[in-house]
Amino acid sequence: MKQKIEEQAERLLLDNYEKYYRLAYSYAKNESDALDIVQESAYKVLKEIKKLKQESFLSTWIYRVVINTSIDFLRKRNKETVSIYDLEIPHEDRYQETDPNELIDFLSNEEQTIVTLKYFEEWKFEEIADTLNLNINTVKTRLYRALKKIRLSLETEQMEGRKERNY
Amino acid sequence: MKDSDKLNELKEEYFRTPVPVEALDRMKKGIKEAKEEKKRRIIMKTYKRTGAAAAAVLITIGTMANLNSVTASAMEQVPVLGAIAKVVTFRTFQDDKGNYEANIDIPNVSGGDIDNVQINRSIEDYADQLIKEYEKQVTDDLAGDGHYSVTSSYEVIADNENYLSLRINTTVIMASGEESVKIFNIDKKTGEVVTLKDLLNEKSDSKEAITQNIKKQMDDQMAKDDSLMYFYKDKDGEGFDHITGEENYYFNKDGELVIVFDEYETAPGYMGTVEFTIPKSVTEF
Repeated sequence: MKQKIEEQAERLLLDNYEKYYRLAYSYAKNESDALDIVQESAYKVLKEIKKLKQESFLSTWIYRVVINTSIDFLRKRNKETVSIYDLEIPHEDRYQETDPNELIDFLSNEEQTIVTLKYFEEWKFEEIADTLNLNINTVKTRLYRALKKIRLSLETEQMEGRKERNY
Repeated sequence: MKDSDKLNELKEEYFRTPVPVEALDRMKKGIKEAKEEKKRRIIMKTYKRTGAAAAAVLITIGTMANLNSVTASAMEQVPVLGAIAKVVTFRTFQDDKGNYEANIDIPNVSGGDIDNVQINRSIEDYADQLIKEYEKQVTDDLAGDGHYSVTSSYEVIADNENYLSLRINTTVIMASGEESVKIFNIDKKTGEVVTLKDLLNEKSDSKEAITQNIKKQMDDQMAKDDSLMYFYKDKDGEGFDHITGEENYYFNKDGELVIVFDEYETAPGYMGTVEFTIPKSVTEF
């Protein structure tokens, strides 16, 4: 008998929590926010699963929920950051130094996600397009643009002779 | 350094992102929040559905087909039990109206020496309830923006010298999915449907013994595996109380009694329908 979709979603969430967490972290860049995103995503997945028409999209759809939740979260966080206190005391981004993903920080969120899904999670272009609601060609174009940025930064780093990294 | 080296390095770094243990807990917390909200909805829904089931009347196949022009009837022969008695798909109710979808296989028991009129009527009654509820959902949805999908299939889960157990699995998806099971146990000598109540009638002691055994199995399973969760009344204030005789059951191939609970009856939704095998030492038959 066909397994119930909700049950499947729950299994995926629990089995792959590390993957979702890492993805959330790549947006949030700190643990506490990433944890909030994970919880909120799990809640949304189960609340909104009835909107999902085709079961075969379940896995990519969950990623989409995580990505959208992350983006919403950043939006809210940025709004909060521009409070009167922040205006008076400009603070430096504390996350940067400890962030293991800092090398791709200069990419936009979307570029970063495409690189993550393509090269780290080893997805097909089709799956990425489906998750991000883009067509395949757009995904490809943006991936190449991201790779170009990475190469440029690499060249810059080498030119500047940053020696603390052993290339 | 090549681009690919760089990407590999980035990849390694990505997977080095430490995942705190708390992440799994937070995932569970999010799931639980959604579940709790949903549970409130489901309780209301169950009330509604019980009402509808009580009002359901027997509708013959002929009128059913006339009522709905889209209703398709199919006759199929699927031999399952060989020459003695067989279970065949007598009729398939199929309908597809965009957001509304029904796919109900209705089996019949035929052949053999048993009197199957009564059994088949019980089976059809059950299927008709499903169909009626489906049609009601379609008719009630004037705005046309609802969703309702019902899928029902059957399987012969046991066939021994005394009993033939026919299991009907039904999944209803509307706001959320719901899974239910109906098992018909047919006494091959009399041709009658035997409920758990009938079965345990002469042995009131075994009801209590089975109840205790199930609670013990719940505790044992939960102690062994963290991902399992059951509720029973004396401990949690809700969930499984005691065997009523209304439960679905069958006999497995070792002749042991297996009790089947519907979703949400004894466990949270992700556990689906759950089964407990009662050792012969407890049932004493």
